[in-house]
Amino acid sequence: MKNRLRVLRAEHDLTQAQLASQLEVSRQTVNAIEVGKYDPSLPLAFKIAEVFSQKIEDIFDPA
Amino acid sequence: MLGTHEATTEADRINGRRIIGWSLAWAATVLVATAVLASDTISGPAAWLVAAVCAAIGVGGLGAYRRYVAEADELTRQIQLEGIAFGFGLGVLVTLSWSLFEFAGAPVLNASTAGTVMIFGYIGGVLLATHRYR
Repeated sequence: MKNRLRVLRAEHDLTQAQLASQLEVSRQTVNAIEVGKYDPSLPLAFKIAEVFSQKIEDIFDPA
Repeated sequence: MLGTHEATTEADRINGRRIIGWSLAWAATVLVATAVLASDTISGPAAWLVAAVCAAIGVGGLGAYRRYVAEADELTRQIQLEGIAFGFGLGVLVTLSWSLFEFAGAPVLNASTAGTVMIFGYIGGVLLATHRYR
C-alpha cells in the first residue's frame, strides 16, 4: 500500500524517531510503513491521520 | 531479537530484558537439576520437586514472553508471529520427515531435538522477518 507518510513527516519537520514516539511505536515500524514494507493496523492508521490532521484516505492509497 | 536493539519501544526493551532474565534462570536451574538428578543423589519426592521447580520457572518465562508479545509494538508482534510460525513449521517438518529417514537407517532422534529445531527455527524466522521489514 502506497502512502505519503515520508512527505508528511518532512513537511512537519519530524524525524522517524520523533514520529514513532508520538505514535507509541518503534522507529523501525515508521520506517517499514514509509518504504511500503508494512501496512499499519487500522488503529495505527487512525493515529497517523490524527497526528497529521488528515483523513486516512489522504495518507494511504490502497491502489 | 527480543526488543534489545535500538529500533524498539521502551516497553519492548523492558519486556525483552524480563524474558532474558527468566530464560537465564530457567537455563541455570535446568543445568543444576540435570546434574543433581543424573548423579542419583536424590530420589522420590525430592527429585520430583527439583523437576517441578524447573518447570515452574519455565512457565514464568512463558508468561514473560506472552506479556512481551501482548504489549509489543505492532511490527515487533508481526515479526514474532513470523518467527514462531517458521520455528513451529520447521520443527514439525523436520521431526516428521526425520521419522521417515529413521526407517532408512538414520539415527533415532530424542524428544529434545524437536524443541531444539523449533528454537533455532524461531531465531532464524525472527532474523529473516526483521531483515524483511528493515
